[in-house]
Amino acid sequence: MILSIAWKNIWRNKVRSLILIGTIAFALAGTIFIIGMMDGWMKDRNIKVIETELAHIQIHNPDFVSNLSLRDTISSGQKIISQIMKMDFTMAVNGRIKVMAMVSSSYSSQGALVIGIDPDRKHEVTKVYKYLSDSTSKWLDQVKRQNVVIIGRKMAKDLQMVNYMITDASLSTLADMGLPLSIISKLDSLQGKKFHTTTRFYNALEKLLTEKELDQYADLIANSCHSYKLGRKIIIRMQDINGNVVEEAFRIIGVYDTDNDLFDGMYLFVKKPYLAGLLGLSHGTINEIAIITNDQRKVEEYKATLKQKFPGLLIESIFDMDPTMRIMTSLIWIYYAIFEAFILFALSFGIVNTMLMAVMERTKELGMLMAIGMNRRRVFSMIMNESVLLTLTGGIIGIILGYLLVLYTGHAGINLSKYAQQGMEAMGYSAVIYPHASPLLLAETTVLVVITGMLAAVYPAIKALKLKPAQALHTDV
Amino acid sequence: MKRVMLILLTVVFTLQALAQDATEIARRAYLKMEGQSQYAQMTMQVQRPRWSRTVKFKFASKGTDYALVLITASAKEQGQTFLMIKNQMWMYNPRVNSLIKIGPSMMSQGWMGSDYSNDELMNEGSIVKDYTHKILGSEKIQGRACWKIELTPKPGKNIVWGKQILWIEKKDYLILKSELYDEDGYLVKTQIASDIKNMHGRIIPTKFTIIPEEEPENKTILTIVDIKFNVNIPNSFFTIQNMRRGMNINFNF
Repeated sequence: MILSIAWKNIWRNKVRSLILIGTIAFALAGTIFIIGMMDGWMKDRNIKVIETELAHIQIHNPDFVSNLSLRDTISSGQKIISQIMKMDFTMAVNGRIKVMAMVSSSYSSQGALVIGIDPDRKHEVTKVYKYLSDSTSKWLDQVKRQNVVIIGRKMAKDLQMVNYMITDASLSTLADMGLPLSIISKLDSLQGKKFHTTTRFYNALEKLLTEKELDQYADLIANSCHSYKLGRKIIIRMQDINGNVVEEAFRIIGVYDTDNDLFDGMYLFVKKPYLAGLLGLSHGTINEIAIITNDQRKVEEYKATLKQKFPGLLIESIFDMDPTMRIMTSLIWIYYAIFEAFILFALSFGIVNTMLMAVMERTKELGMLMAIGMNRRRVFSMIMNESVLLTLTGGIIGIILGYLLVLYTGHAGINLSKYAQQGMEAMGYSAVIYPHASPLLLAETTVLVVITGMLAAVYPAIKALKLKPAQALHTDV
Repeated sequence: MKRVMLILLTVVFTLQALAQDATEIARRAYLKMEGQSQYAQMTMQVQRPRWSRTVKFKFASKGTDYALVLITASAKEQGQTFLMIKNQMWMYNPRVNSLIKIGPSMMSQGWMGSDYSNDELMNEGSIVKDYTHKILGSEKIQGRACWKIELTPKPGKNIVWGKQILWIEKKDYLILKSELYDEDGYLVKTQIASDIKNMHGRIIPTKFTIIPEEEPENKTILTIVDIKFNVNIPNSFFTIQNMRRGMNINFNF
């Protein structure tokens, strides 16, 4: 009864109510979208970190982490792996060989971490093959040859293993990405010319573009027209198990790109059995075990279980290895909540204002209702209901709008590379964002909207309760 | 038929002889700068578009396993020493009295800011053993008649270069110019040797200029002030105790 009166009351002043509903709807759609964007961004990074670098849990010899020496292997590693495989939370487990190395091309040399992994992608925890940069790149299991290597985009660039050539196709891609036409026409003169090093290409760009244009677009242009020098040789130099330097030429068969310069510039992947042979390790020797579990939120529990079972080993969860992951998965929700609270707090002023107006202009009517016997509790609940219904209508429309926006952009992706590719990838975040909104977020928002509606109605309702029926009846509105 | 065979055989033998000649030339050139042990005093100038710096150092080595370097200038780096024993390398800084073992990741940094990396200093692939050699012709460099020789890495050798072209002086077998190419046949860097002098009986170039093709303004110039080959250096010279003496290390051999 009260509810339907409240609903009817809302529509007595359509324009005023619609304005408020619209305000709430837009504010909430924006909030959901922005949070969805952040969440999608974090999720993308989280998945990449798990799939390419850390997995959920890693196991090492305790001495390995401090000196990264090849001697600190995991003894009876294969036995431990088969034991872990039997545990019910294990989705995938694998042993690897990780070793510090020096890589050189004709142009430069740099330090690197060589990871020897199972060539067969079915058995591997590492899913770097998902991030191969283009269709010409191959994964380790597609090549019979043993001395082959997969390197990252950043390293390919540093070792000058990239060719550049501007073509019609790359120009039209750039145009699609929103590069100004003035710049595209400047690039026209470079069409068809091949540049075999990054330095050369950037020098050519420098001659054509202004400094500001270079800052903003050089990397974008470079990324649209590069091709990797697959099949070329790099020399990898490492210390073997006896401390002797071994060096070997590897052919680049693939280049991966995880949008993380730190990772892409450091890690390279080779076939485990071949690496073990080079380093003089006996068959099956490993110095790292990586595990993917069935639930990321429970990794700390699983870690404790593993610690009990294998007391002599160093067992670390993804949160130990990369503390930012902890921030992303748990603390970020507090951030979202604060963000939403601020938006709703700002909105509540509007709601209070509207409800106050509604109460004021109905002083006479409220006085009448009270005079004919409607008790105070009912008056209070009527105003409360009005406010909650008003807020909730706006809220639900906003949440639906925001969710649709997230669904659409989450499918299409938001490409920010035009603005900030370099900066973001240096920090390890992709420049293309795929927003994502979890049901939890939507539920949380709905609850917060109801609470806001209720709190905002308290003051107007109290105001209404303070009315004296006799006086109220005599007011002229 | 017999004649044809004869001609063919002659051609084959001549070609082989030519190839051996090229290898022999490379070997002699290599031996010019090679000794059982050596002591040298050098200046290295690193030129960049916005700055340049000069480092002076003394250097002693024995075989391929032992080497010790002492920086004598600039004032800021004076007294720093580097010791190499077999595959290991240490760095000592007297100002903070710190001894650091150089790990693989630090090896990649250019040595004292030059185009030489620590890595390159330690791993000089032999121009004789790891390559096949071919004479391309004769050319004059700095007014001296030179063999122009192409070096192609032998298959399976761990060489980053696609090929090298060396200009080796005909009379004294001095490498006056070398060009290093990548696998696609693009020039990567050029080294030019000049200022030929007699150093304690050996006639050698004493100034080496390295010019990277991509950034020709980033030159590195290495000048040999003094060099002695096959000097008698005791093994006790290449120790951490000795490297800690810094400027007091005795280089009189």
